[in-house]
Amino acid sequence: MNVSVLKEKIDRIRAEIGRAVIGQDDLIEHTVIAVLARGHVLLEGAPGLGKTLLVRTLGRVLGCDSKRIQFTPDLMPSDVTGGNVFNQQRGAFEFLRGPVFTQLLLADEINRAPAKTQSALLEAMQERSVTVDGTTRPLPEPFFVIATQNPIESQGTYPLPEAQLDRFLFKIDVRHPTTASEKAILASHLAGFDASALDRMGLNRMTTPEELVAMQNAIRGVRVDDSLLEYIADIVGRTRSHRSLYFGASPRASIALLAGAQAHAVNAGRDFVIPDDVKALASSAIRHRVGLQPDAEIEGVSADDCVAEILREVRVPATIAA
Amino acid sequence: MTPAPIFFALALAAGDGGAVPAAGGGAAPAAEPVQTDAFPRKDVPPLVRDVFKKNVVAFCLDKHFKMTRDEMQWCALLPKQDDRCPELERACGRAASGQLRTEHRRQDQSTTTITFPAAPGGLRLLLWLLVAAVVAYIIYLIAKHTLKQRPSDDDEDAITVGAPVSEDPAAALARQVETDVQRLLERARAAAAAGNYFDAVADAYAALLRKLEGAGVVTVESHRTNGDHVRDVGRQAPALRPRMQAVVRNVEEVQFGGGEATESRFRSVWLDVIGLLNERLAVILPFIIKLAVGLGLAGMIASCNFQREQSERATSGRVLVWDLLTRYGFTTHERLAPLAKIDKSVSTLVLLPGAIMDDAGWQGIANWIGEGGTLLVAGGDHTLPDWIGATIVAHRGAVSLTAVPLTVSPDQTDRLPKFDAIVPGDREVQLGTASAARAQYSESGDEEDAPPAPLVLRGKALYAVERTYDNGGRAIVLADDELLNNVSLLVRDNPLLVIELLRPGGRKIEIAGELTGLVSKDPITSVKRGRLAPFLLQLGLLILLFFVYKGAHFGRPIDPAALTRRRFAEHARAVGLMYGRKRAGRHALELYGSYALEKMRERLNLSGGKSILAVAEEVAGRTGRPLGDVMRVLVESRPPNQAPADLVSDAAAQEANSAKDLATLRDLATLLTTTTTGGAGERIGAQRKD
Repeated sequence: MNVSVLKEKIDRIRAEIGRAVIGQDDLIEHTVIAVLARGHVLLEGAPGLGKTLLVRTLGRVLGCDSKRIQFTPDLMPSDVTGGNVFNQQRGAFEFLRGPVFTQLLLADEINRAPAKTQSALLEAMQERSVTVDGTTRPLPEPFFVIATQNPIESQGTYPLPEAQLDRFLFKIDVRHPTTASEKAILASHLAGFDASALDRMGLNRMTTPEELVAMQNAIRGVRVDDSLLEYIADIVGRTRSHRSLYFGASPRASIALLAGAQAHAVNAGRDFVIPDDVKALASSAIRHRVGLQPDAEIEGVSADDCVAEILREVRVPATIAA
Repeated sequence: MTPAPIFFALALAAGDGGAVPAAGGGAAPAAEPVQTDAFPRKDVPPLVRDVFKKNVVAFCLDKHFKMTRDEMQWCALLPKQDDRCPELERACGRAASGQLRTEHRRQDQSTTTITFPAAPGGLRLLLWLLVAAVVAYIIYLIAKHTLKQRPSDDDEDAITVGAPVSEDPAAALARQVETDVQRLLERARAAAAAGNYFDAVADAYAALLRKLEGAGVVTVESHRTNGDHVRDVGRQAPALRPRMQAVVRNVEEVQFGGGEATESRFRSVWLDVIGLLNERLAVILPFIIKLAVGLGLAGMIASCNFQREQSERATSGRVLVWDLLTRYGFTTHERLAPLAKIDKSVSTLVLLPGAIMDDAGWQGIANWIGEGGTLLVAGGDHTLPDWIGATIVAHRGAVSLTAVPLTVSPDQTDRLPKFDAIVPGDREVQLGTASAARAQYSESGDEEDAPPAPLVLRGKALYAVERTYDNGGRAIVLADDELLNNVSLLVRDNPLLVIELLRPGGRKIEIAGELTGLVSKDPITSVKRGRLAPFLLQLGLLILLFFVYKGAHFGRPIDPAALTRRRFAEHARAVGLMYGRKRAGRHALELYGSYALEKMRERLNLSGGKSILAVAEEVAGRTGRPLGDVMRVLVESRPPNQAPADLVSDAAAQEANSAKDLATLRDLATLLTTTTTGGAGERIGAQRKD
């Protein structure tokens, strides 16, 4: 599968999603890139910005089997992974698959469940398998989790632990649409669009799970120059010594940035990565993997500010500047 | 202290010019009169000496100063060997021998002379050259673009192609950072000739970036990517973006894409780079336009100020007169606001020849004089209203009418102190019909029933008329403004006469000249008065031509700063993190333990510093928890009795116990929450009272 074919497919996927999700082009682009990079995505944004709609639309457009888990404080790990249930007729335990056994899992409001339930996803996200009572069961291919959380409410929520956050390839801040986009949303609703009835919208399936896996594999072959590996390592390494950061990003962040940059390059119609690909995704790949120093947090410094500062400090490969 | 007014109040009959017409044709509204706080006389000659001592004026100090023909007429009236103005006599001598300055007299400039470009000398030339060059280049670009001409291939032909060689990384590292465009291009050629196309491509691209950087289109910094440069070009020169993108694509394929640096690829990059370099002037055109506009406006402003300053300090200028008045005790200001809005805060208005008058202005002055203001009309071509009862008549080319000392009628000598003044000129004042009859009547000596006559000053002809109205308002008309010239201060008692004419009016003098009323109500009037329409039209045409050709937008869009507001929970978490980092969990527990204990005592009404045991018993009784458990929580939250043996072991112990401390803190919080007021506490309180 060459780059032009890949790019054409990606463009069509984005365009089809854009029919339902209006005014969130960056969000769509980053999410599609994450899917192509075999990564999971954490969407953070206020209610009503189209996070859930995006995931539902994505499932339809990608032709993947999708399931949704509404995370609540009383949700148990077995509600996610499934568990062994005694079958009285057969007189034996049978494994009842949980909703995690799907291709696209929407973990809605993931921070409303306690840490033990959140942790039930750890193995699924990293190993793409589930182990229950000593038996490991693989998850279908492709498999990716798109989780959402609301940054405003704090009561009754359980912040995701660092280990869990690290599993997400990108954390994407979903922002409010522009006035023009909002007007387009209103016009769409006037024209009969109903977010709860996507069937009626006639969204086209632009790919199959097999094609998606093939695309993911093809993207892995995108060329990355040695100087760019150094560039990525330098960016991530500096998060560990930045004065405003309590802890820096792990090597998993470097890997995420690399994989994301490859997908970004294909999205731009290239079969090689350039520094712009890395810069474009640095914030999304790093912001949830670092911890701010308390004083920086009080001063209003954000992780994005730190990443931007690091990007201004790191020398771009092949620059002509002194 | 204050002497009686010098001039008699003369109430003229209505319709005869004596009563000043009020606005709208009715009587002037009864209002508080203008403050004419006449002040005592001072000795004028020492003040005049100070004026010439403190001010640097060319006609007194410049050995090469030349007078104008009009200024020359003062020479016959000046004192010989005046040490106040040593060079003036020699300037008169040069003028007599024909060395004159070609400059028009002030009163000949009836309108504002703001022209474009009005910059002095070299700046004006530079400005015109710049504008001409820009216009010519735009026309050239449009023609070239229309005919779809391609850049010259001369540079391309100059490339000598050699055999490809692989890049030597060590050599690449050794390459110095070159910023000169021509040298970079030469280096690219040399590298291509040597078959090192990798370096050749890099150098050609570097040359392009350096050129764009020099033009202010891109910013080259170590953290900026090629994409940033393309976006910069897209903002500054959208038409060039596709070509820039093509160059960048080729360069990146070599740099990052593993693409081989071949001759054909180099040629492609080279052609695009040369093409873009040939477009350099188009790229920097917005900058040139901005520079031209800035230079033009700055030149106009500077030249206006410069010319004005020079003019005011010349022989026929007035800066020394205003300085004398200031030293005497007046306050002088140039009036910029329209005369129609003059009010009683102004005591005297000096109307210079350059002032632009209209009906509204005269009406405003009439109302103001009705309230006691003093108007001094210093010559000019103004058409004076009837209520002034005088007109100014010019005798162009005639022999000087007033080159004899000014005198006052014998019956009016007490209205002015004794003076000896003389003013040259070719103008005279003529009284209106009714006023002339009064003057004749006054001259006949029969004053029994006649109203007081206006004060008149005569040389060979009538030079000045002063009329007083109801409420003490006055109008003084001079045949010209010579009396108010700098050089006039050197002649006999002219400065004294100026002061005595103005002194009864009050201290606050406003001078109405060329700039008065130029404060426009709308931009169109402003442009019209400033005579800026041709300049703005040319500028607009220039921008339009550029826009038609390039479609460029001016200015760089900037993202609005996003405002963020932090939640209180985030602050609390930040403080908690701070405690955690400092390993101050134990400290936090102790603080909270003290607070919780006091709170429990308060809630349980256990005042008087009851022991922990008493508190524990009460809490256990209320919550139903075992006494030992409650006691353990309270004791563990207390500070230790002994200091730690050493800091290292203490820190290690604290880290190990942090989880335990946290659990204790939570237990304590639970105890505090479940310990409600009333109940046993109230009973204990009641027992204590009993």
